[in-house]
This record gives sequence, C-alpha cells and structure tokens, in this order.
Amino acid sequence: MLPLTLLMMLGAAFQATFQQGGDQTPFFAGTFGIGMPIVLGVQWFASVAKWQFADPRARLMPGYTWPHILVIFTVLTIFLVVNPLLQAFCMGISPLGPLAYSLLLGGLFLYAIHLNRGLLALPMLIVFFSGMYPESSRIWFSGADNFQAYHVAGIFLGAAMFGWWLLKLAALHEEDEAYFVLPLGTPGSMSRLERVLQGRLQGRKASREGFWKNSSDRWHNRLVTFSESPNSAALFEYGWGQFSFLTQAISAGIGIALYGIFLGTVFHELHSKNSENPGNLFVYAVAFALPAIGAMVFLRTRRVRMASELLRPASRTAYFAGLFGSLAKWTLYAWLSMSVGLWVVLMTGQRTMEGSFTQ
Amino acid sequence: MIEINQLEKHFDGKQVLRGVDLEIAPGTVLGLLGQNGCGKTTLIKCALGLLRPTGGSATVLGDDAWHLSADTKARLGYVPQEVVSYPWMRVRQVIAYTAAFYPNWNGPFVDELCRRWRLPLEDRVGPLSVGQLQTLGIVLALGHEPELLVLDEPVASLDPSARRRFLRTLLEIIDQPNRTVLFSTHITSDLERVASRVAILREGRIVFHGELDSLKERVKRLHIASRQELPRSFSVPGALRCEVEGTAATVSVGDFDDRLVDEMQTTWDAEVTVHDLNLEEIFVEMHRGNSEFGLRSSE
Repeated sequence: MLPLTLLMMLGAAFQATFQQGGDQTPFFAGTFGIGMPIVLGVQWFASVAKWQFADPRARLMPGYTWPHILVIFTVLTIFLVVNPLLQAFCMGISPLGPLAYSLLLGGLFLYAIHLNRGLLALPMLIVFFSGMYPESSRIWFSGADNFQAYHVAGIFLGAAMFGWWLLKLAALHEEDEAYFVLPLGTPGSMSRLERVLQGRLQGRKASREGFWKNSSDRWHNRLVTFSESPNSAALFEYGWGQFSFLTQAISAGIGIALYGIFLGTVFHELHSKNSENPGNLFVYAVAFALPAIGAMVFLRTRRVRMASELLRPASRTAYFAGLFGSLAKWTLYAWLSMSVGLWVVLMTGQRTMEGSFTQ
Repeated sequence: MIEINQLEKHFDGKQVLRGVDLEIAPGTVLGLLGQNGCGKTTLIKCALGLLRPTGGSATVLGDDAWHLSADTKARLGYVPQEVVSYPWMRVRQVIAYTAAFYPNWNGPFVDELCRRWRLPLEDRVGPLSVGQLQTLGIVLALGHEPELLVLDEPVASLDPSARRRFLRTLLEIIDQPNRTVLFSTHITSDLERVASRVAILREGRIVFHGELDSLKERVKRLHIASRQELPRSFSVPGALRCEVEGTAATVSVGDFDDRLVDEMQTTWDAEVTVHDLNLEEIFVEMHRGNSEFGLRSSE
C-alpha cells in the first residue's frame, strides 16, 4: 500500500512540475497527488495505528503511548502537510489551497475511520470529489486569492480534527464506543492472539444495541419458527451479517455504484472530452466485476465459522453448493441495485454535467 | 466409531502427527491427553474432516473423514477449542439457527440445558464471556443428541460450578446406550471421573491407549531406602525419572511389575515402597525430560 501511495504522490508531483498551469494538473494533484494517497495510505496507516491502541498493552505498558503517538504524528504529517506543500511547489501555486484540501480531507477521513459512521463519510466524500471536478478543484488548486479565507478555515478545521484524533487515540479505552470500531491491522503480521482479540472486538461491535441492531432482530427472529427443510437455500442466507440478506446486497450494490461513479469521473478526466468517451463502458466493466469480488470478500469473513458449519448435517458438496448459491444470489441482487444506481446517476449526469459524461 | 490409521499431518514442513493409530469403539468415553502443542486439536480436526491429513486415513461412523455424509454428521456433535459464532445474533437466535439444520433437534432438552447452565438467551453473542461462549458451544453440540460427541477442551474456560454442571450432564449422556465421547482436556481430575479409556499423545504419536486403570497399574512411583549409599549411576531399567539422594532414591517407572520390587530389594538391599499415582502425576512423570514411554494398550 505504501509504495503505491508514494508512487502516486511522486507521479503527481512530477506531472505538476512539467505541466504547470495545464488543464489536467489540478485533477492529477487532487486525485493522485493528495486524494488517493489519503484514501489508500492514510486509511491503511490510521487503521494500523488504531490497532496499536485498541489493545490492553496500550494502557498497561509503561512508556507506550507517547512514542507511538509521535511516530503516528510524524508519518501522518508527511501525508497531510509535507505532501500538499510539495504538490503546491511543483504546481507553482500558493500552498494554502492544497494544504487546506489535504488537512480537511485527512481530518474528515481520520474521523470517519475512527468512528466508522456512514454519515461522517459524506462530508469526506464531498471534499474528496471536489478535488476532481474541474470547477470545484479550482477552489483548492488554482492559487487564486479569493479563496484564501476558506483555505485558512479549512487548514484550522483539518488540523483540529487531526489533533483531536491523536488525543482520542492516546486516551482510547474499552468503554469508548470507538474502541469497537474494527481496526484493520495487517493480516499477515497478526499473531493468533491478535486475531482472537480482533474477532472479539468485531463481535462486541456487531452486537451493540441501536436501531440497526434491533432491526436485524426481525430478520433473525424468523429462525425461531423456521419450518423449511434443513438443506433449504433460505438457511444459507443467514450467517453473513447482522442485516437481512437483501439489505446487505442492495447496500453493497449502491456502494459499488458510487465507486463506479468515481471511476467514471477519473476516466472521463483522463480522456479528451471531444473524443468518444468510453467512460461509461469502463465504469460498467469495472463495476460489473465488483459485486462478484465483494461476494468473495464476504466469503472470507465467513471462513472462521466454517469449521462448525461444515459439521452440520449436509455433505461437503451440499454445504458449499448452498453457500455459493447464496453468494450468487447476493451477487445478482448487488449487481441489479448497482446497475439501477449507475443508470440513474448517468442519466442525471448527462443532463447536468459539463462535457457530457456519457458522450 | 472412529478409526484412525497411520495418520500424518504437517504444517509448512513441521510434522505434527507422525503416524497416529487410534480406534474408538462405540460406547467408549475416551480422554485424549497431551502437552500443549502436541497435536490433540490437529488430531481431532483431522478425524472430523476439518483438516486434510498429509498421510494415513480416518473414518467416522464408517465414512471417510473428509467426505462425511449428512447422515453421519447428524449423528455427530463437536465442541471446538475456540467457539466461533455469530456475534450479532442473540443466543436464542443462534440456537434457533443451529436447530434449523437438525430434524431431530430436542428443543425441550436444550431449554433445560440453557436454564441449568444459566445461558442469557436475550444477550447477543458478541459480548459473551469466553466461558459463556464455550457453554453455548456445548449446548449447540448436544441439542441434536449426537451418538458421537467430540469435545476439544470443553471446560477450559468454565468456572468450577459450570464445570461440575457440565460433567454431570456428560455423565447423564454417557449413561445412555451407544453414546461415544472423545474429549481432550488438561483437567485430569475430570478425565478420571468421566473417561473409561485414555489416549496419550506425545510428539505426534499415541504413546498409550487403554483403560485408565491399566495406565495406573503401569505407572508407579517407587521409594527405595537402602542401608548403604546408592551410587550416582543408580538406575532402573525403563524408569521415567530417577532421583538419588544418599541412601534413598525415588524412581518413577512406566511399566511396573511386582518382580521389579523383588529385584531391587535383592540388588540394593533396600526397602521398596510402591506408591500409586493419580492421572496428573502420571502425566507429569511421562513428560519429564527425556523419559521414554512406549505403547502397550490393554484390550
């Protein structure tokens, strides 16, 4: 992850250096120079950092907290402060805009990761996408003076969020709601104990009461009066997650549609607006595969329970047939909802966006 | 019930099981003992088709372990060492979900177990303590009243009263005809209460498989009090441990025979006292240092 992120940052800086004032420069800076490194690199690093503190040793080991915080602060400062300054230098513009974009996006991202609340991701996405569209990216990367006040406000707000996150991390304890937000860690390096602890954290997070958790009761209470045969395909729709099968598939489909829109935007910007733009085809081609990939990721989360599920009264063949059958159904629902979502946005975008997205 | 022949298993070049032979007849309660990391869980998982062995074979109720039929699985119950469940579900929902797979699920029996073991049915599985989770795992394994029950350290996380309640239930199960139980545990006192046969796994091999009483007959501790200073080279053939201090020696033997006492009395002009060992002491003696303990099972 880190090498890819560094490659993107350096590539964007290189592009900016040799194409100062070019049409594509703000897009490259916003997307590959600052936006994507935050999405990929900061997200990964912040999740690993979270793991360092969602752990009893953080509170029990002497001299643990502040050296870790210092390392985290140093690495994230490189991403959130040094990198945008570099991009600004290469573009030959005032550093205020790129710095504001970076700190605001980074701060919102850290906040969203820490609490894992879907609604918090919305302002983050707005800021993120604003760095990619021609009109909005000028706010951050044109170097114009009329946005300076906004830039300064963005810098202060982003820096405050960054600082807040570091302090919350240093004081993290088990009664914090954020403690249960799953830290991702690096699977290959986790010890068996860390995987067990992570599994328990996941369990406690998944079981916190609230509207969403209680709504899953309606779905699971059906099991009490389940009357179909033991090998019924319907039984395999349970055990994937707390929400109903259909809800999960549709949510995934809509999420993929949003991701597809982002890819379409990227592709649209990479090609001349006057030539035939296969952007929508590209979006659809990539998005088409994502429900299936999502299903495989879904399968991976079920692996830990397979040892007990394999011993239920079904042959190995029947078990996997049921499992993959429900995954195929999930993929189909996700694909359908993704297609509907993409179609709606593409049709709307055709009428409102400059340089028709579908032309 | 379970037949294991020359079973081998290695992970990334590390040999864990080295040609294990084990047969568990119907109606047997077999306790599987072994040090940490000796391969007990691996052996159980290979026997149940959860891990594919690298050599040898295993059959359960006549089916190849890797291809257990649905009928065989319906007669089998398994409690893993680490119970992994569905953390977002309530306990009663997990029970209902598992019950949906078994046509012969005994609901009233499960209700009684939950009441007896004080399982919080409305709580979600995620925040359950390790002991509660293990209790849930046991309930899920017993609900369909399996003929073959396989338990991998089922009481490791249970408090003493929970452990007693579980053992009481296990004894009730064993009392029923044609029930077979295989369980691995470190709590030897539980094994002594419940098991009729013992298998000891050491360095990937079964070093003893037989009646518990037979094992206790074989492994004894001898106190030797001689009238003269015993030499440093004092030893007893086949001893598991030998400690010499002046005119006295303490020897643990793995293959006790009355003739050994007479021989030592004659050779060393000593009084020899024979002490019985409990299973825990036997286990410790067998796993001391370089002690060799060979296989000889009683039928």
